[in-house]
Amino acid sequence: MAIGNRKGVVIILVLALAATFLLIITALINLSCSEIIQAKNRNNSIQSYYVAVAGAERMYVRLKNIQATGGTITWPVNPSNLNNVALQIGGSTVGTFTVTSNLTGQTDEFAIISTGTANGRSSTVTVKYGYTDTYTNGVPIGSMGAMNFAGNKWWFLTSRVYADGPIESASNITPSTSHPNDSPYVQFNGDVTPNKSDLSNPSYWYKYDSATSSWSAKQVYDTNGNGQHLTDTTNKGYVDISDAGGDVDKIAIFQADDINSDGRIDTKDAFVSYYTVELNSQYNLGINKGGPNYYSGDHTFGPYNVPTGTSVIFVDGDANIIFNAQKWWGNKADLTVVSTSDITIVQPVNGADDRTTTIAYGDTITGGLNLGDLADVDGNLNMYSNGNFTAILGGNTNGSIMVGGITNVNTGLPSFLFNRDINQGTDDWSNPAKMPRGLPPGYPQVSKVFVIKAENFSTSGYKPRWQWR
Amino acid sequence: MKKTGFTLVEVMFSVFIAMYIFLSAWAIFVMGYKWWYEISPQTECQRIARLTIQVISEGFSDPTAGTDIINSVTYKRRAGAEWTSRTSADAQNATFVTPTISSDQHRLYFKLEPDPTASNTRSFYLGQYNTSLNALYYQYGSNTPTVIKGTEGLTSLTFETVTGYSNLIKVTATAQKTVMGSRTTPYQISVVYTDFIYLRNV
Repeated sequence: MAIGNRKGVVIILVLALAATFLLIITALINLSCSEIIQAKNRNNSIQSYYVAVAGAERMYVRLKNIQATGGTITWPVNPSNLNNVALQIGGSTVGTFTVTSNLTGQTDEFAIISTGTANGRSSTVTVKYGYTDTYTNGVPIGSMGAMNFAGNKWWFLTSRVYADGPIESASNITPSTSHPNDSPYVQFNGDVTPNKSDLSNPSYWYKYDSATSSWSAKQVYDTNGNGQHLTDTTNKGYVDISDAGGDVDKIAIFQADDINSDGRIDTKDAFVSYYTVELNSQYNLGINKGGPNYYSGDHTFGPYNVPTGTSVIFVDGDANIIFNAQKWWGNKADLTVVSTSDITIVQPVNGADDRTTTIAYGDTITGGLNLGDLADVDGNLNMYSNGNFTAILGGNTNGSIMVGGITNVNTGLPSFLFNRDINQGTDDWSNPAKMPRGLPPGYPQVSKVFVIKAENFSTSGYKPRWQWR
Repeated sequence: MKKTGFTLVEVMFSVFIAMYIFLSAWAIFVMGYKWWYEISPQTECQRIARLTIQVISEGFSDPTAGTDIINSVTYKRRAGAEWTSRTSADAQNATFVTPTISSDQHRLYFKLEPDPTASNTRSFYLGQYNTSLNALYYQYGSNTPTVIKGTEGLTSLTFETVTGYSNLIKVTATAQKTVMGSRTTPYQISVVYTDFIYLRNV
């Protein structure tokens, strides 16, 4: 190139040489830095491990405090103030941890699960501990929505609500304390905790792997668990055909995941899949679509019309259980009724050796008379409702009630016949044989008089077991 | 005055500057290359020894190590001596399975909890990778031993108990490389790392 009639080649030569050397030097620096980067990643990984250990120790202290104060533990324990906690030393943040604790499914064993993050690297540490308690059961009554309890009084006639605690709601509880002498006449026995931010809301996005006999979480909207799913592109709270954007492949994925063919993929698909596919796969319950214990449409169960030996019934519609006063006294019965819609159970009755469980994707409604031992729940009745729960008039039940929506308990009329007694369950769920079948993962459980076992290798002790994941 | 090109002085001066820059850069490059050639075996030895101790202690993802299911979530176990624990035979707390060291001190046997097959042990040891190289090997039960990638070049591995501390195992890893550096004859460089495996579950 000529500038002012000069032909310069030196500048080009210098630039070319400089570029070459720069390239070589960059390559050399990259090579030498790769070791440094590896060491840095390793340091971050170790750092995240120790942050996770710190989180596990923090949770341990919390559980020890509950033990020291004689409190009741609701499983899982995932307090909001142990979520994404910054671990600081001398004003600088070392990393963050999130820690939860839950029962492992083994007898008298729980685990602390702590995930530490440092500089983008994460490590999960689990520690298993042994514990003793008087018993483990579902939360006596818990609700993600508001809870309202109301007795009635007219002149000298009263009907009251009695409920065993802990009574827990992620929203308001009305009244929040016992009103033994007032109207509405409501009496609580145990802790009453409104606005409980860490109340566990069960989930159905789980799949069962029959090859390894293990459960694992599904991606939300991946109903069939094959790893392919659409995303909710417009934050509707569900996925529909519009999220496929006209893509043929995506439309096929949508159709495969819309298991109940209602034009959208949501929690209901997860619910249907959890029972008719995953749980059925684990236990061969006959609740697969078309199976002997699968009912299409609304179904009413009266006395004596449940086939002997049935453990789970799936109703794709409303389930009405009316005057099941057969008590199943003659034979021990452990029956779970699952409904994709509402469950109505009138005058629920069972015998002392029986367990009845109702699981409704919609609402649960129950009611009747409080007739004492003449017609009440002598065994356990566990009720889970993804929608609302309504108990009208009277009744006497033992068991666990968990509600995804609002809970309304109202005696309706002022008479002792309409007293409503909600008693804690008597089954010990730490014994797998006593655990109700079909409760969704994440169902909140409580441990009464909780004590962590001594950390030694004796028959009464339990040495913690650490693992880095 | 109208110029039609460079003068001889200008060209010579330009070439001198270019040569000066070129030779300087070349000198830096040669120095860096020699340094790299000299130092990289040492870096590699450090990496081998560090990785060896890290894998033995903290473990790695091994399908035979099994899983734990907590609240329906599956957590994979790591196969590392640090997580030594009980077997399924005594799942309810009774006995800790102490890691054992072979008589030549080059192999460490341990068990994870709960082991799918209680009689099976896991071990880390120094094995022969090829005719000229050794490496860290891992074996579960009678399965085929697997080489831990990245440890090729490990020359010595020793395990020792620590008197008075039943929850510690001392491990020493040595890696050795030949350096064909600037000296007239090649020479050997060794890196020796020693660390303690903390048996958390003791």
